[in-house]
Amino acid sequence: MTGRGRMWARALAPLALSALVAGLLLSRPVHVQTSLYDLVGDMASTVPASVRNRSNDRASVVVSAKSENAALSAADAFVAALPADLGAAVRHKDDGAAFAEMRTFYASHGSGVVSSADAERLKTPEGRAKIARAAIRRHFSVPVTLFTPVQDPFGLLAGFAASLPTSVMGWSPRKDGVLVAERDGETHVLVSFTLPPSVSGDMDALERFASGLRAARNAAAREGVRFAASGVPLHAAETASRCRREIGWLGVFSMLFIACLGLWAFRTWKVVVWFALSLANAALAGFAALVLFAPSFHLIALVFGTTVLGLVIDYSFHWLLRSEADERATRRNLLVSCATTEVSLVPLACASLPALAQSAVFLGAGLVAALATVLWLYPRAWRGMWCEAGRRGRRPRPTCARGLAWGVFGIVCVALVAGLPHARFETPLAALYRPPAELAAAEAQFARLSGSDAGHGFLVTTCAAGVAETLDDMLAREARALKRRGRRFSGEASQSSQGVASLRRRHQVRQRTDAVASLVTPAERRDPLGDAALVTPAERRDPLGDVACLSRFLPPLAERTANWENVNLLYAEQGEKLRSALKLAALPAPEAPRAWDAKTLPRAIAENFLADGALVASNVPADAGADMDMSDGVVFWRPADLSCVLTAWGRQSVGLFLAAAAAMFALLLVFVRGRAVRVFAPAVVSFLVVVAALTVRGEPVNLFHMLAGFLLLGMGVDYAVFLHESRGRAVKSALCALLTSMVGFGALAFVSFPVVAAFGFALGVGLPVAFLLAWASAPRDADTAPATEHGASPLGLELAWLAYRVFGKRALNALAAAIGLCIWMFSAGARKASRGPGKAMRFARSLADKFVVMCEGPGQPCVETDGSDDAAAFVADVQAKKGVFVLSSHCGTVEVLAALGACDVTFHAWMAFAQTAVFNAFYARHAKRRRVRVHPIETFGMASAFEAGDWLDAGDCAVMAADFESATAADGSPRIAVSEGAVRFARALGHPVYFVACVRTRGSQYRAIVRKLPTETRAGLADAYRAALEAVVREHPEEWFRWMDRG
Amino acid sequence: MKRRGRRFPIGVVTACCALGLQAGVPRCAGVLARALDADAAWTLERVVPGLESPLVSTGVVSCCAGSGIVWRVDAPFFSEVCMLGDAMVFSDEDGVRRKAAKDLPQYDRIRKQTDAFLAGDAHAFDGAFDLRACDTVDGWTLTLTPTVGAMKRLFTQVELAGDKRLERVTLKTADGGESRICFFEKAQGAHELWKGARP
Repeated sequence: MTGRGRMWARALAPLALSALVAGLLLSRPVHVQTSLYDLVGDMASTVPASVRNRSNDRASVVVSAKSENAALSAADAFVAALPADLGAAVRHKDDGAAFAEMRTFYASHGSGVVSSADAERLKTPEGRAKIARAAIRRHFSVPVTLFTPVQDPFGLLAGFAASLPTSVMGWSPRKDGVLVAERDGETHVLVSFTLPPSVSGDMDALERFASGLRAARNAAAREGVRFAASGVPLHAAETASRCRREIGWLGVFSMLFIACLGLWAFRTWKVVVWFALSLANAALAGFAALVLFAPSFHLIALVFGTTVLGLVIDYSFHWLLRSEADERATRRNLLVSCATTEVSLVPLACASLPALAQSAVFLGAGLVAALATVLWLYPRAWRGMWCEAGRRGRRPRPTCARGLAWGVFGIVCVALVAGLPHARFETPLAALYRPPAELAAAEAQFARLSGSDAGHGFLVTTCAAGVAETLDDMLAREARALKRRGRRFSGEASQSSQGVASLRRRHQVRQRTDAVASLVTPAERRDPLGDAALVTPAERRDPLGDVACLSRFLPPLAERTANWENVNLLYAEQGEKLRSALKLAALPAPEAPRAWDAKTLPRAIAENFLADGALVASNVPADAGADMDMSDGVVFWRPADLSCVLTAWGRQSVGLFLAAAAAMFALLLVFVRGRAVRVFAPAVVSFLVVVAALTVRGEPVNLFHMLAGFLLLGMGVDYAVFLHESRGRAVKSALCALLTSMVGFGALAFVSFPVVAAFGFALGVGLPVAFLLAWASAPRDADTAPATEHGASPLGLELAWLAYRVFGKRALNALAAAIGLCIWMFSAGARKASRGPGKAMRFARSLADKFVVMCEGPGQPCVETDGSDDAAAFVADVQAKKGVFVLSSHCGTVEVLAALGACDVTFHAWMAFAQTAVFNAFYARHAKRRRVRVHPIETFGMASAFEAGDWLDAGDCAVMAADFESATAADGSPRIAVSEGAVRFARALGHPVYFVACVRTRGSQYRAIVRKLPTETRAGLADAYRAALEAVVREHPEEWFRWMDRG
Repeated sequence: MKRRGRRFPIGVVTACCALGLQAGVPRCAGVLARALDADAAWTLERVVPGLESPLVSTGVVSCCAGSGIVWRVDAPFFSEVCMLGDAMVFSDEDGVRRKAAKDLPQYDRIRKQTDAFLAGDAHAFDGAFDLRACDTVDGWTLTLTPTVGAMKRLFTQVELAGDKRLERVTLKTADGGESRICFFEKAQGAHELWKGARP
């Protein structure tokens, strides 16, 4: 096999291995969970599956219009326009049998079922007499009634039935299977669909169903008619469609960005292949691990896992952009990075929330596979393909980032102070799912027409047998749980509800989910219709809300018992009268109410509320009433409980987060030792910034923000490890990693699915903060360019220039003076060079003038000569284009010099770029003067000498500084060391040589001190230069700043 | 429930009369039309499963074409139901109660269907009843079987019978009960119960 063949074999080997492993595991049946209740694991498994999504196979379309004919004709047109292959959906048709069944059910459970109005009337003798009279009238005058006089002597059941909401009583079935109701002056026609499992469980089929409804609706649309489609299948279809569309676009965008970034960094498209290889290995390994870990896993785990696999690209960037010298360090940093990320995932993998554990397993395995690919496969696969890939292109200048980072740090501090104290940890239902406005409005309308408001609940009813044993078991379990928490359990198990209630109040069990979990075991929950599962009312954590409203359909036993007592009075007072009116031999005695039997609940209740032994109450009153005693034995569970569970998990995940952080810090102490705090701090601070940002937005920190926090911790440490350990050399790879992560994760913040958006927001905010803080706190490398130059940073210069543009030159001078003052105050070197701050401030002002001169074009500055003959000769030579060589100094400005001639002569000046990189960069960005050309002294060579000769011969001028060291004599006078090379060069060109020093007089005005230097001998030239410069320094000491002082 | 229970049979009777009018039954057509503008005494006898004796009540009904129907119970107690175009008014010893038609969706729908039928729409009640008419030795019989669930809950069959006048209406319920209303026409167009102010 050739070398290239071996290369491809190595490249494909891990991929093939992963695919083989995944294939073997896929031979096992794998179940992907999609229900939100599956997120909470065992807790949700206690809720019967068919109850988790109420009517999850039902969809309803309500056609509303002002007139009945319009509504009915529109409904007929809608039905006629339905596609023939509407996913085999079954139209739900009501034949009224359910209502008859309900009537029998109520009549068979004894007295006490009364409407609220009759319950009030039952309390007084006058009311009871009124009830009796109305009953007599009804029996005689109404030919047909719902209940016979024997079943319902006083019409109490009939009154109760009349008080039931529209969902049971209000819809009038028609021959063609639609239901009609009139409300609010409109006619509403209900067309219902029941979807078979093959459709309700298939997202594609659901989307076809939803699109079929939309098409039929559009075909039947007419003026004055509204269509409102609702139901879980439509929510699922809409969510699937949105997710597919959004994540599809995001995926394409992310891949394109990564490819372009790779092209920019490596100048070749081949790198995309290696990225894809690493991703594929990671995805396969992650999926295989997930299947091994859990035969059934939640879809959210898969979604999270695949999105965060973008982390593997980071490893590729770090490895491919390393330098040869850093190979060993990069390998070590990759191992540390992977280890810390894996450690951060361990608490998640051990979490009881299945989705979290599954996500952690997927990601953990994927990252290990990616690391193996990078460390083992990359070096072996393309050894020799390219070695310089990572070195092309300019390295981003760290100076800008440091300035920006410190600005971000300031914002971070403010945000932390402002936001953290008000942070909330809560996972509302809206964090899981937010329906589109149209669907939400349709649901609300349907609920209103059906007599229920938004909000659902579940009650699990059981038979009344086996109370004592179960209660004792539960109390014993509660005692054990409380003991574990260190609380004293005093009190005895009581079989009375009052005793249990007393126990509850005394021990104040707050956590709703724990209480529910501890009260009923999973085994009991799975058999809710058996005798084992029973919880007394005192065990309920929230006796209000749905329970009070469910009594509209199934009044609790206590309420019925209270009514029954008044019914007995009714019979005692009015029974004889009624008996004689009805000519009955004897009036049936009122039957004591019995506990509801879940097995015999009527279909009218079952189809709306009951499935597999659980009842779903569908209303939550705004004002929760008194504690209702339902001694039937109920356990309360509703979708809001899901929010409580997730909130509790979100709060518990804070503990997991701290554990992960501690583990990561311990690992860092092993690997980076004393730098552990510095490496770890940016990640922690970035998470706190995310919390503060959420608080500022008014959002609580939910479970999915916390999940992102784990990743943020790991990725923040990654950035810090690479930047700190490489002393800034890995900034390019870290920046590439940040950009890919930002594109991959930050874009998720714009997805309409709240879970994914929360994840994206947390990472989109936290990652750049972590990166910048890591970069700002990373130690400097000797080879890297300084972030600032004599206190001036690129950002500072730009801000100063902006201030000049806005406020003018005076403001710039004032700012420069202030900066000079700060430099003198905080720089020991500046204080050494000058006793007072005046010189530093003057220098800063002159520097500001220099920039103004450079960038403002002709007309600046205002220069006058010293009036000497040499000055006049200099000006004459320049104007005559004789080609003048100027030996200048480090005080003065070449632009001022160039203004002396007031002609089109170009001045070529050599400057030290490497040592004035910040200023030179600023100059390069803004300079407009074309008469001044600045050349780096570092590139000075033979070619420069020939070019200089050509310039001078052409009549241009050349400028070079000839002093490179300075010292102070015992008498305080300066001693200038002259550069022999500059002197020789000036003399060798054979053109007139002048000394020019431009001193600042006031404002932007300068005075040029000019001396013509003798060129007969080199020593004479040097001495004359020295003498001239020393004279200027003595005369104008405030203009002399020994930047080049090496002492 | 009591109001709904009242308005259904009254409306059904009206509907059945109107339906029969247009159903192409020559012998009862004029009879039913006449009934809708006549005053009559009635006797209602309810045979209720479980009761040994039927429940008997008597009263007067006064129909006024274009205004409505007043159904008054005289024995064994007083009560009155006035079916107007835009409301139903209930009067008894507990007082007078008025229910607007918009709050009584079933009533309003039946009334509109009836009006439409009387105005010439022969299909106004289509889908509501299965109709069967036959002639007997004593006169004619019109049998209507409800096909709509709401009606079906209340009764399984309505039978109108008469000769020159509408004489009987018999409702059979799903529980095996039976209600017989016998009419004795007193005057045509007298509108006795319509005299005086109507709330």
